[in-house]
Amino acid sequence: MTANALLQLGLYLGVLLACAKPLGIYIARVYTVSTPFLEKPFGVVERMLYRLCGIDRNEEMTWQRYASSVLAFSFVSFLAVYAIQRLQSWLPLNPEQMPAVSPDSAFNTAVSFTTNTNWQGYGGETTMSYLSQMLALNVQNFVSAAVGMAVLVALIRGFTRRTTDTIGNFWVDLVRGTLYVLLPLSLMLAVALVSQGVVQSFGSSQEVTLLESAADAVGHPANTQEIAIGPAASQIATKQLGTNGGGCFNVNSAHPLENPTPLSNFLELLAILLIPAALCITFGEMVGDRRQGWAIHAAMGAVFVPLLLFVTLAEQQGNPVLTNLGIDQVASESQPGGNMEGKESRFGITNSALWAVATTAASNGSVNSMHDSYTPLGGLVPMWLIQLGEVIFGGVGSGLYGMLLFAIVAVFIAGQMVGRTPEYLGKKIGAFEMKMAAVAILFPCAMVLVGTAVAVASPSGRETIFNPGSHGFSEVLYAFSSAGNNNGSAFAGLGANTPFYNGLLGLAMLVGRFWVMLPVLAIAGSLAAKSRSLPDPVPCRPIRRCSLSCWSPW
Amino acid sequence: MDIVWLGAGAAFFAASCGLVWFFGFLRAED
Repeated sequence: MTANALLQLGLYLGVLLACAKPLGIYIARVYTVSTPFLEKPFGVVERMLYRLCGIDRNEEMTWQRYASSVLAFSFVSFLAVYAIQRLQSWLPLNPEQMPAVSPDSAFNTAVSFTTNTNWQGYGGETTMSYLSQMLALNVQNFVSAAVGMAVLVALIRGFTRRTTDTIGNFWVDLVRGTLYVLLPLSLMLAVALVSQGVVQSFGSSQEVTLLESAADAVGHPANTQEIAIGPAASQIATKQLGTNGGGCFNVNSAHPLENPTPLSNFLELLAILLIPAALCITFGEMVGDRRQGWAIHAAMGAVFVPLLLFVTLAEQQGNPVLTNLGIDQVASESQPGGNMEGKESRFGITNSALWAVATTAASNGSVNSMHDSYTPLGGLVPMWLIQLGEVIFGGVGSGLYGMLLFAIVAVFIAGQMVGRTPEYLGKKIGAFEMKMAAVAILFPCAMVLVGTAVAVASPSGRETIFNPGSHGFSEVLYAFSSAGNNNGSAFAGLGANTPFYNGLLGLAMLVGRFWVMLPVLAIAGSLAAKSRSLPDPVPCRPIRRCSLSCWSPW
Repeated sequence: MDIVWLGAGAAFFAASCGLVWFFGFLRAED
């Protein structure tokens, strides 16, 4: 690994760590109804929304009501995204006159964006009108992330409240997360991205004259090229901050109009992990013990950093078959060396590897290089990170509540090992919490395994595997891992825009999202109803924290 | 075809409501 690579990775991790703490403290204030400084400009909008929707901000919800509200809101979101895609040819802001999206693709995309997965079976610039991109997809980039944060905050309240059956108000959490966290950050990032050259336009695609004549797809000489544009910057900002990942253009963040410069790449990378990392600090703040937040943060970092170095090394080392043929793959002043297949020369190996690890850790489906072209070991890591359940920083909200499920399992095992009643943050972990944690961890795993098995066992699943053999199997497994854990990236090489895959992957995304959220909310309700036990007289707390840090990733 | 795909989505959310009830039942039994 080069010194330049180490410097870039170190800079990224340092800036991320420096930004996470203040943002985490700020987010904690947003949800504990202290007055954040943004309440002046946005408070009017917040109150107006409550009045319009008939929401009593002081009303508290039981976990069942909270969960029903999550489901109701998500179902309406699904219907709206589906309808906009199906009706886009009659709706405004469609300069390219895109026809209606097919029913199966509309279903898959509606599910994908409602569940914060952002799996894209379609090409953005060839399928979606600007209205569909903005009103259907980008709105979901905001609210699906806010739903994830709301569920996390409900779980944290489960830990902090005593002998009550309520865990907050979903509608208030949804509005505040969107207004005070996602919207301001997205505004700032969108402006910064525009300054770097990310396109933001309602104009139709531009025809440009090529500098050199080229041949089109069928071999005819071509002197001009159509360049698709659109309202990209606003969508890119939210897609990264909300760990969504669905791009305006088919090649996502490898497209020069989505990610044109090294600075835009750095800012987008920072946005991918910013809120998930900050939420660890939020957790510590809200439970009144900052060390708990840092313990979770450290557990995540202990998995993230070695894997990041591993992928960078694997890609920098390149393909040993080429080395045996006498091809120079060593980084030098004249070449980046290593495996550059599927990577943008603008970003090189370090920023491609960092992006791949950050996005697959954070349930963000965006790519700036093609994971399918990574070396076997380099490609293994993104897939494994997804299969961990997207808990290494993870999705906005969903990553941390996923990690807290592992923490509950960890303290249960640790408690059994030291012969004490399992307890976390003063709340006894009983049979019900363990059942719910097990259900939430196992549902996505089952969906990945069953979905992959069905796909490779059925003719409909096999006929669009363009890369037969073991790598084709990896592509199918990656697709179901990505859908079942709500990541959204793809290994490519798989024709997934078919009714078979649109349906089955859609089901995997729904199960991976909501059938994890529901047991999490059930745990929140159960914990909130418990009293907080007194600190143990036996010095068990350091053991508990240590156990948590060690066990959580596993 | 719309009714099929919308129906599939509605069926999942209906099943999820059933899951909320079931988890509530489990907790009451606990």
